[in-house]
Amino acid sequence: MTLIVPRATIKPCNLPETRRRCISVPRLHPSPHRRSVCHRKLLAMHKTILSSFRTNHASPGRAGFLSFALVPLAFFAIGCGKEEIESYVAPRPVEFKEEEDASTGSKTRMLAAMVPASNSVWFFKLEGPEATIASHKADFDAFLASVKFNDQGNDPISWTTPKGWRQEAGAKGRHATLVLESKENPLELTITALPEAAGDVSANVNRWRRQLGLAPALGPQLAKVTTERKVGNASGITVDFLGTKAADGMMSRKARPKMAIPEPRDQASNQAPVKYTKPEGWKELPPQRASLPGTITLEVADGSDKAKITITPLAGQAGGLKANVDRWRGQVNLPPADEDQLKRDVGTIEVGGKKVSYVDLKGPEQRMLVAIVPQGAQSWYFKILGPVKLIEKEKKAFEAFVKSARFQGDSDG
Amino acid sequence: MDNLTAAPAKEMERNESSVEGKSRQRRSGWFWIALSALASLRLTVFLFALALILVFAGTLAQVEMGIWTAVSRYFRSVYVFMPFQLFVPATVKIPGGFPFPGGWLIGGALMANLLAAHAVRFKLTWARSGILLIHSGLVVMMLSEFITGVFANEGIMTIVEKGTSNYLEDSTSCELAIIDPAHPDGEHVAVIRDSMLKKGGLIHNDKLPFDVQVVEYMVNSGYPTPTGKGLATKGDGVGLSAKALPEVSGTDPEQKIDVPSAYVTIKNKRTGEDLGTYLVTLWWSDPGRMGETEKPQKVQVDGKTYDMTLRMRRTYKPYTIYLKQFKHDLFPGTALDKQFASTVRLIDPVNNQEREVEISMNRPLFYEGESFYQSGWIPGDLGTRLQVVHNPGRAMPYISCFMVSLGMLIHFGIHLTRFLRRELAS
Repeated sequence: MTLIVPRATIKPCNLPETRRRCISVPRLHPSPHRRSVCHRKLLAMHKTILSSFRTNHASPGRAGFLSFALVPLAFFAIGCGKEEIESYVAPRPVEFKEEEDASTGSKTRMLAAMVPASNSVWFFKLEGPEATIASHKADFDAFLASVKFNDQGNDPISWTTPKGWRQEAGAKGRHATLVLESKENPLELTITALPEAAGDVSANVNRWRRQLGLAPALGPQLAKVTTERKVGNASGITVDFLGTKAADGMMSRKARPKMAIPEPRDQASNQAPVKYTKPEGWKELPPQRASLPGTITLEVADGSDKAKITITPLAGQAGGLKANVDRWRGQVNLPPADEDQLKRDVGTIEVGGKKVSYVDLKGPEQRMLVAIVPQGAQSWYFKILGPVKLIEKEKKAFEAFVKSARFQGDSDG
Repeated sequence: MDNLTAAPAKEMERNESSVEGKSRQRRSGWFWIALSALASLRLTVFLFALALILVFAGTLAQVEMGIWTAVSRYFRSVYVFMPFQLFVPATVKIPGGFPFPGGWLIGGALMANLLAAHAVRFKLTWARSGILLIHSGLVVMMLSEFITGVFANEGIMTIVEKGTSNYLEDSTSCELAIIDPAHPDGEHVAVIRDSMLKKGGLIHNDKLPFDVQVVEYMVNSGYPTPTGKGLATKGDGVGLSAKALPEVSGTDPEQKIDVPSAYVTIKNKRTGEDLGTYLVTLWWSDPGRMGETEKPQKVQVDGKTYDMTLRMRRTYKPYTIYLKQFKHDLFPGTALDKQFASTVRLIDPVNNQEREVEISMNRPLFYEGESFYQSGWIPGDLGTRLQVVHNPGRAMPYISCFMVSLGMLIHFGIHLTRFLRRELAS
């Protein structure tokens, strides 16, 4: 079957010629040589454009619309003078206190302690009605004082159960529970061990505060609601909160204690955030549960002398230089430093072409060297602590070790 | 003049003009000539070409500078100086540049062109109603962009749970705030905006209790550390220095915020006495918005003590928002976010309003011309961040789109009916 193709389909036309003619004499009726559809459209469009260039068909009655030609001028008139200096009285926010819900009865008091030790973070928590807890606070304190952490041995922790309390095996991830039997006011003292990643003070403290309907404590406020103290043979922080437990009681899904809340400042650093060259004789240790999250620990030994080296990232000012130096001085049995002493303690060392703070503290028996390397909003603390003689021997190696440090995303400083 | 018996050409032209029966007059006078020139379609095409180049250049510019800097320099301006370097790879260095019309100038000219075209070639007939509506919609769209650029402001309100807030913060600009806490009226604040700090030099103003000399202003900076040469002689910055960093690029996938720092020398207004050089930095004002409190530095002048801090630009509101509870729900058994919701109490003593509202994703609060969106939260679910937007032109883009769509439907509808009528007639 042959296809019958109509004759007048696409025939090329000399465009410039016809265009000229089309402008003056447009052909709407079928013309001898039929133009293609697209050609006709092109002509029509072209004609419209060219006809608009003619300005001789103004007519009366358009004056009213001239005013809006001025509108664009308004563009430039407005918005040029934003005040660069201003003064005002800052209004205080309206104080609002939520009504105490009388129906829920008495308040709940929570005594808790968080202790990093024995490769974990240990949580000791006692919670109950206000009056009951008040009468048993002494038991809690006595218990805390009796806690012993063992680095070696089968039992990482041991304690003395207060009189009148009974020990039960832990259920649901708890290490153990101490129970005080009572008809009206039974109490449970829970002992839980979690991996060191769950040891963020702010996250846990605020989680407890939210459970009791208390406002979160942030930044400097955190220090006000927590107490640093010795717990047995280790040290940790304790809290004492009074609030109203929400109706749903148990920790809701929103509170995620096991989630290591990573500081947003050091996201995307799952692989080795810092690389270094390990000096001769230094041994890397597995992540120590007792240390701050993100810490890398090494060890060097000379006979029976051992020195511990740690690399820790800390955000922001980490409490301030003087506060840290005083704390370290305490660790090598030195008294806190005054300003002059501080200047003598803090020197500099060159790392990656920059001078960074380098603290050298020589105590009677122990010596500590700390290099503080800033990386953006974080600072990396390279610390070595050990007997004076060993540190003297390892000082050069330590300095080379610090200088060899390379951080993730090291292009900026 | 009209020859109704003329060839189809003339008839066609008459239809085109559609002012039937009226004689066509050639208007004279400079005004009409000028207006006609403004109405030229050539001008429209030329302006479109300029707009194309501007958008291209603005897009390239934001690689080196932040998005908001590029927007304000290229699009919300009357003119912009375009460096030649924009258009060549970084390895080839070409100094200098050329001035070019900015967004407002091109937009304004386009609008003038459109309106003038209507004035000159005005045809208020049903046949043209579709086009008129489309063009009106475009005018509304252009106006909306201008109104938004000039009048809109937005900020983030960060509220800790069980806490209150009555101000917004703008993370794209900062201010040096000098606070007199002992003022009888309350906290008396004088602020110097970053636009003024960037200019540098001595700032002397009646509104300030002392003179401020900007020694150095860094648009973006690293956290102050003990390394480097610090210029501070007083305050928290002694012994510390902040390293200047380039602005966060508009193409940075993380879109961190710029954290500015500055060295300012305080001088006694009357005597000119140098009262010390301070390091002020946004770092000490909690730029990560972790909910930490800011740490202002103390400045003593003439026996009075003032607090000084470099903070995000604040806009105080006449109302207070109290955050009763912040909920962050996950899909059960997963770590995927399901919903963020803030139960807040809106307290407005001025309008005598007090009510409890839940603001969640896709459910903003609308109050007094402002929209409150659930924007973010303080890490650890300790509080919420609400984005509060005040935009008088917020409805205009919708109206404009509606007008343009309707206009298009009408226009094509008219043509379709005309075509069908002709088909049926033939």
